[in-house]
Amino acid sequence: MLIPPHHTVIEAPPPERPPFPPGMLAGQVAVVTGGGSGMGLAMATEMARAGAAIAIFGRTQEKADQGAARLREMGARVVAFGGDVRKPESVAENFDRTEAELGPVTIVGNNAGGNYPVTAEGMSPGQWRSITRIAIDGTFLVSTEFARRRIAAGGGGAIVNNSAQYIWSGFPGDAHSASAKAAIATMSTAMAADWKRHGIRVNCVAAGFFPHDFSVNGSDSNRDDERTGSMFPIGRVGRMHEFGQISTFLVSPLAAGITGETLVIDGGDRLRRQLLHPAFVPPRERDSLWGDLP
Amino acid sequence: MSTNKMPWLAGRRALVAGSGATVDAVTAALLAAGATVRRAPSDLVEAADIAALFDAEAVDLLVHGGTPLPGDPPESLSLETWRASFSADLDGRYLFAAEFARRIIGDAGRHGAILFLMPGFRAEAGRTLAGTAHGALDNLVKSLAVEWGRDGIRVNAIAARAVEAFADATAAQRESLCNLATWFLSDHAAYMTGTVAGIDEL
Repeated sequence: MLIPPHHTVIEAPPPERPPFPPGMLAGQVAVVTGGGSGMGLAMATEMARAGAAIAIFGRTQEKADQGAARLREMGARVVAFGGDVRKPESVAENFDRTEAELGPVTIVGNNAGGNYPVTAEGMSPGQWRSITRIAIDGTFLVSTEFARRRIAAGGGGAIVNNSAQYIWSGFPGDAHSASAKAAIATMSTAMAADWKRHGIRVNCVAAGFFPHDFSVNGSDSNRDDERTGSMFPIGRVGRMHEFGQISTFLVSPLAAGITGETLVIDGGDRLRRQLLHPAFVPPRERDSLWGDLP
Repeated sequence: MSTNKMPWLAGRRALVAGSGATVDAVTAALLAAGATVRRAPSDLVEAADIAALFDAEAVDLLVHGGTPLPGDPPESLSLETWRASFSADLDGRYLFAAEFARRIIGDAGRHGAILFLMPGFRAEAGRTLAGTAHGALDNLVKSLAVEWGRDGIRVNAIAARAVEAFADATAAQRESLCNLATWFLSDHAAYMTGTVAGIDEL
């Protein structure tokens, strides 16, 4: 038993008891990149539950459609488009298609990204470019396309970016994605400063472990979730609706005065647990590059 | 002041230490979210006085607003002023938090949340005391979050310009501060601990 019964582990209310009033985001149109699955879909789901119309930008049309189908089952108004967030013309085209069907975009959730374990010295230039460009260039291109449209419309709008809990510590064995996630957080604050006068807010969520069907940090079994959760001070992994809800909070009127911030939701994962640790093993000498579950 | 109308804190019992416009507004937000709220002075620094507050009634949520810190140039600060300021702000926050935690640790079925309201960090003249206290508090939040993570106690802070200059903040910033404070204390933030968040520190 990894978590003794006398430990207290608290769950958030289930997604069926959402924290936001129905219709809080009514009339809003949210673009969610990487929204076809995983954390992007969680973000889109909670924004839709709060009343926003959703445009899912996926890597492929098929992937975007999968997410859209889930949202339609909830009764959400949703469109879905495949495309490449690294290409400005693809981004602009999908904004045009979204606005033709749903009206002006007022919210963006940047989730598009990729990740896998690899040593820095073993990573090919193509691997480095692929991961960093999807996350860094993609967030930049989608955000700037959004901002140009919002500024032309008279301003206003909100962006929430998906970052990670390891952006302050580094993440050996993950130099590509970790660098990109850190860049997203500092980019968020910088853009918030640039666009404050236009009423466009930009915030970030630094998320810890939120296992889902496409996680690369473990399988989806409840047993593995328990082992993963036992690593954290809070004693469990994050639930997808928790990530979606804090993201939704940040783009909502409840956070109308919050900008340039990075909120961490990681169950205390980024914090030092103890002074002494097991003997250090360089990543390349480990059986598993990212370490082993308890 | 808060714009949240949802009962995020229904049934929860809060103790709010501190005074001033920010603490008043956060208190109102907690009430609006369904909590019951007791107020306490934040300059209590004797353990027995603080324990008496918790003896009087069970507490699920603790908010500590700290105390104002003098902006004297450091070379002219007397040791008495330096020590008294930290005693009221830093020591008091720790003693409140520790007393709060002692009542929940080992009490099966209970869980709680602590929120410190503190000024944002700015490296500028006249803020030696505030800056020093900020470092200590920022780190205290993280240490306590880990120490009490398995006791169902979360520890977070809002460190913002709006905390110390509430009247100068925009209406949106004031409302968001209250909403974020309420969120941190609610079970909807059950996976958030050890976080020090701003509002708009640009």
